Amino acid sequence: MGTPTRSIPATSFHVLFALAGGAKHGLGIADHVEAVSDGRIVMGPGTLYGTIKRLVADGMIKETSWRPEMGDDDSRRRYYTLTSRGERTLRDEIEGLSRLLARAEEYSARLAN
Amino acid sequence: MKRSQLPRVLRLLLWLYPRSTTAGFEREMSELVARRINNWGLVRTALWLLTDVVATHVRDVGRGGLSDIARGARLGVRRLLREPGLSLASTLTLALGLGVSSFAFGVEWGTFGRGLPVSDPGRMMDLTLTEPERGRREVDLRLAEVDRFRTAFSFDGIAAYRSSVANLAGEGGDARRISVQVVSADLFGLLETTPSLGRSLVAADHEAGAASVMVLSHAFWSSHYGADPTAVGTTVLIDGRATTIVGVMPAGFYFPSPMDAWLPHPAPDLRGTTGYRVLVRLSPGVDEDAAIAEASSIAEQLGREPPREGIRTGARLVYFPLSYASATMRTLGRLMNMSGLFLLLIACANVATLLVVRAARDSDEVRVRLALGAGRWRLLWESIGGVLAIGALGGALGWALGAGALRWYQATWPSAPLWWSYRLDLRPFLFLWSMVAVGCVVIGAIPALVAGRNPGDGMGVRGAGRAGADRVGTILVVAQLSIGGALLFVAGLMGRSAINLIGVEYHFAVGGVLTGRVTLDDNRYGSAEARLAFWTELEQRLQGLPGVRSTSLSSQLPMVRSGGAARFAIEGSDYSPDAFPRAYVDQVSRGYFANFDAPLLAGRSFNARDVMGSEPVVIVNQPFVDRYFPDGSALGKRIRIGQPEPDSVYRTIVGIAPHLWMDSDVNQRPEGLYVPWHQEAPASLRLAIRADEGPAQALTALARQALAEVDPSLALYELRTMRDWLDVRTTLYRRTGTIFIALGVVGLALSVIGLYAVLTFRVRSRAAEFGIRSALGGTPLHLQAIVMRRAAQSVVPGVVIGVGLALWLSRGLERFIFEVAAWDSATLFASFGVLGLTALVACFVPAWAAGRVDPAESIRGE
Repeated sequence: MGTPTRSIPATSFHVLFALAGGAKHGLGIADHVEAVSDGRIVMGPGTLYGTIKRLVADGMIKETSWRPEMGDDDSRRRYYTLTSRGERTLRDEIEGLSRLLARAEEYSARLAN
Repeated sequence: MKRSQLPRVLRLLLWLYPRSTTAGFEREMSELVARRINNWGLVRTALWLLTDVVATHVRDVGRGGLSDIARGARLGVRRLLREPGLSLASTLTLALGLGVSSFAFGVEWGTFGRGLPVSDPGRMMDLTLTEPERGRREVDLRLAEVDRFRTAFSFDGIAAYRSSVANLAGEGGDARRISVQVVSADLFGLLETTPSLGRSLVAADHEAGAASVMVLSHAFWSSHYGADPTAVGTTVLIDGRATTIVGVMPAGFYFPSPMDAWLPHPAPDLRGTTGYRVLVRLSPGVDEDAAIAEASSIAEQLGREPPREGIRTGARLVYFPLSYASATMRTLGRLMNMSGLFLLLIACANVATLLVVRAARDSDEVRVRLALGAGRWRLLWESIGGVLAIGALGGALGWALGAGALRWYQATWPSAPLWWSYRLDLRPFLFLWSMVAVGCVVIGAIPALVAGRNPGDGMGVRGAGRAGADRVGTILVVAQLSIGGALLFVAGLMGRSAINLIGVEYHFAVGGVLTGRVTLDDNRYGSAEARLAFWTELEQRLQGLPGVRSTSLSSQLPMVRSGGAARFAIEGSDYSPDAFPRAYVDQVSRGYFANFDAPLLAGRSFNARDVMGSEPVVIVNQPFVDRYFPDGSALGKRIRIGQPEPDSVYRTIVGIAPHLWMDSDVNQRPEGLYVPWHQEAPASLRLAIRADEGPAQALTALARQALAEVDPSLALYELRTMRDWLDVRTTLYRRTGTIFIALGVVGLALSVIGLYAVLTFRVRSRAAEFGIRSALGGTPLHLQAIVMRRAAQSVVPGVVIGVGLALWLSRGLERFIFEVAAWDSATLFASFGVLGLTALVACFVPAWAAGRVDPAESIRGE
């Protein structure tokens, strides 16, 4: 059929997407999600850390020892980065989404004509 | 940002997250939340967090958290089985509390609430007329008047009915008396019932000249005709009239009480027989007030036409089951409901006590497991799982108990009216059960939550969770003891009252008295002369019967009354038009007081000179004298009865009668007046025939014969012995007395179980202390004294509060207990004595155990 379907929950997608730009801790992920959604998505702590735990368990992301070189770093914060599996999943997901978007645009263009 | 710097509500919300999700992120989570407060403020942040907590839990359960619940429940049940005594006590407590209280609720609901067995019982009403100026609140209707209400928009169904008795004779000629209902054909449709054989009555059966027909009840068809289907279609003689049996109603159907047959009422005419009760069904969407308004306007119109012309008339609508219930019965019902609620509270507190005790005992284990990383929710599910198991088992047992008791109650009351239906309904029971379960879970979960809050805190101190549980337990026990004591007191009063009723001494002749009633029709007895002549002749004939010692005719009998009190005025007193005093007024024959062996206390009885046209006279009763002539000057004073108009006649008081139970309620002592029926010529009187010797029933045939000789067309109905009347009148008190005693005993048992559990727990949790005391030379007696002193801290406040509660309750009880004062000190001492004594025994077992603690054993146990 080849119909692009979303294979992971929206929250997982947001976390993976946030980590695509480099390693981040939980608060950083929350900030990123809020920023890219223009403040429309504000993840609650349970949702955020629940998703992180699940993605770690699924092997999509992993904890990293990487730390930013300067700034307000707190050694107790845990940083996460994408695994290769996570990268692949994110890529598939973005591809699917853009196919979906292209079709949606076709459809709206037909409506406009 | 530390969690402790956050506002309390947010800290609580954070604490509610499942451990599995948040472990390791506590600090970051606090920081995230703190940032939100800066942006959003507290309220929005809290709402956001709450939504997230719920969502996280839902996701958690969706991902296998459910198996956590199942595991928890299994562990909880296993833990219950480890302590079968405590678990059994909780289960039985719940079962008893639910069962007995749902029985009490069921009795009240079955009598007053459920209503007739039709699709919409709430619309079924009883319609009567009122005559406010005569002080009459329930005036039966004439058939012609019933027809006037048929056009009312407010009613979509209306049926008249009247109890009567009739002579039934088959072809063989052997006559027997049967109880019949003379009804409108609409009755069967209103009650949504169809005959099981043949047909029921139809409108054409009422027409003048229609063939006479009859419908049998299933019970009578079975007993008299051996359930023979060919009985339908046969012709019998009813009061000498050839009548065809046209149908048989289904088994279990009768109205209003068990009876033999239904006859169609005659064609209504203006002066036709009165005495019909009326069942109406409100039209859909019409409320009671609107219906009363419409019925009242019809009634007012009736008051402007003959034969009521000049009598101000109103209408009264009452929810059908309530029209058969006296105020006393209704208050008894409310009292029973309240006692059921009390019992439920006790049971609830009791189960909660047992749970608190259990939770406290397990608190050390809980702390250790928490510290070792066990999920808080897992632990909570464990304790809830146990509670649910107890709840399910106790609920099932309670259902069986309540349903069984109600079934028994129904079975032991075969003469109950059709709508007195006692059974346990599933939905209200489930509601009760869930309220109790939720209450228990909430109370039971508090210690578990408190214990689990800061796992590190209690680690250094063994039994740290116990002090709190001990306090909660003590409060619960005090509550149980006080409510239990008050309940026992109420039960004691009701029980004593019931015993008094069984052995009550009526100061009038009861044995060997047959009573019946005759009502004259207006056609042939329209004039006072005709009525007087009839009653005079009937009395003479009855008096002349062989085996009859004496007779009387009177409008009412002792303990038998229909109708209310009338207004009166004492000569020389001024009353405002709305505030005339009221008293019962009975019309009696000259021999009435002698017939009932109730000689007058002063003055003279009525005699042959008290006739129509002579000086109007009246005899007052002792309660009347006590209230209006306490100085003893009653004789010779004059009273007006009825409408207080200037020209109404004054009656001279010629005698004082003793209190002769003028009310149907054995507990009332109403003021009353007696007037000679020779001066009134009433249309309906009751006869009381006293046998020389032997049972009163033997006079039945003779009485019928005597009436037939005077007028063969008249029915002698409501034939009952005086003893039967008294039994009927006191059944309710005797039954409710029994129920209250059961409620009290169960209440006592439950409250004492709670006390026992808490004390046993205390002794066990202080076993080490007792062991050390014992090793240091504390005697068993000394140790026991410590336990008993602790027990007293629950029992004494419990009893004190309970006595207060009992005294407060007793103020409302006065009217419903017979020959017992509501503040009866003997009952008060007895009930709280029993409570205290039982509590003492319950305390002694654990105290004895405390005295026998083996020092070495207890310290090794730690």
